[in-house]
Amino acid sequence: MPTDGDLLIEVNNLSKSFGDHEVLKDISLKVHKGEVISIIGPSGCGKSTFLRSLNLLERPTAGSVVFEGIDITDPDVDIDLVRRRIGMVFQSFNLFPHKTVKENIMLAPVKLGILTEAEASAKAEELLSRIGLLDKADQYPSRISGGQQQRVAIVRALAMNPDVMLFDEPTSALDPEMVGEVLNLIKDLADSGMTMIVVTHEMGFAREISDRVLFFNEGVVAEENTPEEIFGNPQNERLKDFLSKML
Amino acid sequence: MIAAIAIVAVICVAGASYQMMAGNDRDVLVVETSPDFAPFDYLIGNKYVGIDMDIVRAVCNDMGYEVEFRTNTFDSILMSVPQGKADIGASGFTIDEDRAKSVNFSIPYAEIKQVVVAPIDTDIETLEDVYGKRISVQTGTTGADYAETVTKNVVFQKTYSDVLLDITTGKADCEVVDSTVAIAQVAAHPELQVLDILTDSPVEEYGFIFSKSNTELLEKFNASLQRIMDNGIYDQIWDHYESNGFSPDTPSFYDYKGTLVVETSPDFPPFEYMYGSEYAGIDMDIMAAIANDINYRLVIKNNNFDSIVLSVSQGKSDMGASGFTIDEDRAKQVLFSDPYYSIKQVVVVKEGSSIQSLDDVRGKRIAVQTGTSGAAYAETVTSTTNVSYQKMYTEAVMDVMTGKVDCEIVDNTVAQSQVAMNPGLKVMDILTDAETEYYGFIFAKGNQELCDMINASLAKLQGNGTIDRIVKYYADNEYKEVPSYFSSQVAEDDQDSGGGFWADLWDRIYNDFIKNDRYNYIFEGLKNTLIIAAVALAIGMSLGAVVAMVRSTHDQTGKLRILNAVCKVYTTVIRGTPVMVQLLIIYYVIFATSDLNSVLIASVAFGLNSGAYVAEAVRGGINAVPKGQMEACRSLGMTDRMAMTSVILPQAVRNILPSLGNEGISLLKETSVAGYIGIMDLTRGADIIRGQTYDALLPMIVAGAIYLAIVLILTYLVGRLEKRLNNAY
Repeated sequence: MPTDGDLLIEVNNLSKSFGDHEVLKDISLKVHKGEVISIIGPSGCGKSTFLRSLNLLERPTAGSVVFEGIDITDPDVDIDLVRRRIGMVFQSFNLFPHKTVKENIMLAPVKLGILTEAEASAKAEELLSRIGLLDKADQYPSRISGGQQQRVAIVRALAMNPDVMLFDEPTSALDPEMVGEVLNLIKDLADSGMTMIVVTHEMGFAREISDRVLFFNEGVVAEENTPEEIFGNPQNERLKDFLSKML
Repeated sequence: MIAAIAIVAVICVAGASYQMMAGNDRDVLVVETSPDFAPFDYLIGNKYVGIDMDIVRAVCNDMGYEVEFRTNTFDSILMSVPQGKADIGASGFTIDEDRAKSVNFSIPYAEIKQVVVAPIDTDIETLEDVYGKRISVQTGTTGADYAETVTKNVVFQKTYSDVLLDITTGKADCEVVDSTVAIAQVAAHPELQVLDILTDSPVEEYGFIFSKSNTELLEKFNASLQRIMDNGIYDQIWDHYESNGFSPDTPSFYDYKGTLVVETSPDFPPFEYMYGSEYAGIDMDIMAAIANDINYRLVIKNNNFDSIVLSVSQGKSDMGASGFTIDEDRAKQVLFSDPYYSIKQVVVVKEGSSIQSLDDVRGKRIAVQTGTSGAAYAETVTSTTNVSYQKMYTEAVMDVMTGKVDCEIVDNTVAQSQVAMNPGLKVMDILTDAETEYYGFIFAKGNQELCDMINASLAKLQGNGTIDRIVKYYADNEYKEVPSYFSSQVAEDDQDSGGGFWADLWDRIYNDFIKNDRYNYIFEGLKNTLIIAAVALAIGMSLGAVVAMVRSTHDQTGKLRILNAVCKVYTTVIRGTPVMVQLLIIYYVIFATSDLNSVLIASVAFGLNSGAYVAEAVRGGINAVPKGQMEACRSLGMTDRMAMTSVILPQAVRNILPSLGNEGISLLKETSVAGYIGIMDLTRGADIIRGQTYDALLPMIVAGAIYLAIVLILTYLVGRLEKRLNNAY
């Protein structure tokens, strides 16, 4: 467990309720630079909500999220500036259907004034050629496969040069034959040293790429350990039960 | 711009001090002119203006006479003056021997010579160049005589506007015309120039013309004309026109003291009706005479009978002249003038009806016009369920003719007109208990000053016989729909035709659309309909988009609480009430004291209405964009507004387009109620034709077909746009 890198994200006593229903209960977590963390757990355990709390798509009911030394739950913080440095990939891709593949990648950097039109275009082409989709640059998302769409969504997030990438079940909406290409891209990213937090149901994948695995159950982190320990020597009864169903 | 506002021909007398030689009983001189001869004779609005007109005013004032101007063609004036139909002809008549055989001339009042008017790029430079050219002239003028001496190619036109059209369209090479008129024409047409090259044409003099048998009048006239030449008034008039470059928009030397806006419901012959595009009828002519007398410019506005009282009391116009019976109920809301006409209620039935006496009327089905004394009377003899309340008299007559009712109850004068226009009907004077009623003009409460002024003028016109002459004119014409007393138009007889279906159909088409230029009702109406629909759509789209943004922002973020509440009330109220009620409230309550153009008010009303529906459509379109789109934008660091404009709205547009197209289509059709606030839209235009021709079928079918055509075009365009958007991604 490489804990030697700089501290990137520090979650302190985070809770989240929807009405009376408490989804996350008093969760704390430290994420260091270069670390790859997988979050597993049964449906409705709060793992997606937790991930979405990290860039404030869900606003925590209590607790704080400190990103690179800044408490982003502070209302005075300009969350839009913070989000530029936190890439996010959604289960349903969320590409902009009225923009071409290339325009999808260019939109945010250009609108936010980070890159000029020409720089963004060059960057988009470079990213697309990296994932072998340069020939699809001028297609609309509806014309390419689900796997290709999710890979475009990943490089769209990368175009912002984020410090961390959040993946929210990136392969759950994909046909089985397309899962591989997406996982390979995420793995390449991990190998390149990107800090990542991945919510996933792909146990083999989690085991292969993670430095650390968190098992969520009923809004708490029920077990946290290295992939070897989690998958080879689970302690928590619920985890054992969960793994037996998944494998 | 509003066709519903037409201006009636009015006459005007010198506003300067009168010589009070005969008190109020000053005699009237009828003066005929062809008002297309600027700067001598022309119309502004519909006031007779020009050097001739003002000299006549000054001379007649000096003589102690009132002037009554009437329009006739140049040629016809030379006949109607000797026949005694008019006292004086004033239309730039050149004094010559031929004419002097049939009329007497006054002493000369203008000196002119003939010149050439040609385009700026003409090759005509000298007298020789004119020989053999195509020359356009006004028939019967000195210019025409001269033209015939230099070429065989003469184009004879009835009016100077047609002559100018010939030159501007190249149908003629040039015009030969009096020098002063030429200056005025070129002032109005910068593409033309005056060429003073007719070296062999003599200097001419203008004189007014009189009947050979009325030398006494001529002598008095000449004496007065000489006096105003000596005392400087004559020079002042010339200076006035010359200092304006003889331009044809120079106002009269004797300009109006003000404008008098009068509302009427022109469906009440013989008191008020449309003759072609002109207001005619007893009330209209009395108003024209009054406006003349008090030297005000008369503007007539068309409104529904039952809306005029409200409209006048709110000051939307100065007064109402629409056969208003003086009664207590109305007197609570408006001021009445002194009575100018008395009538009583009678019954109109079909020939052969069994109704013979007052008792026969009791319990019968009776047609009336809403809000009239006839309606009030009908309610005393039969139950209200038996009364057919119609907006217009033409509909009440239709009810009688088609047997939907047994009879109609109406003022006796109107009844005579209806019977004269509709063979097969007759008048029964059997309502023995009906009281004699008096008609008066109405004014806003508190406008005592105007009321007093009109009463004084009315008394004067009753005293000098003007009103009697107006009433006699209509009585002599059996109260049929004839041109107004002050125009010399000859009434066209309705030709009977027995030529079978196609000939009948052609007659109906001719009668409905071609005769008296009635097609203008359709075109003007269509123009207003399109203006209202387009402006309303623009207002509705903008307003709807703003309201939708406010509501969506509130839905997603919880911000803008108060604005959201306002928007919610707006959409609820607008969508929960009929557009007609909204229109009436906006016109009569919110804009009650405003003198804004009513087409604009209607556009605002329909725009407000449309905005509510557009807002809901846009909100639905925004909500239909998946939530993930906004989250993807926000996760990339884009602001709310960026996400809205670059990602959400462009996608929403595709969702909204079909409903926006539908909204445009229903808006276009909803504007058909605009007639209720007196606007002549397409529907009202067709309805006015129906009121004049008693033919509902063709005007309504044409109006319906035009609506349908526009809707089909809109549907096609929206479909094309949708297809393009759908193909895009």
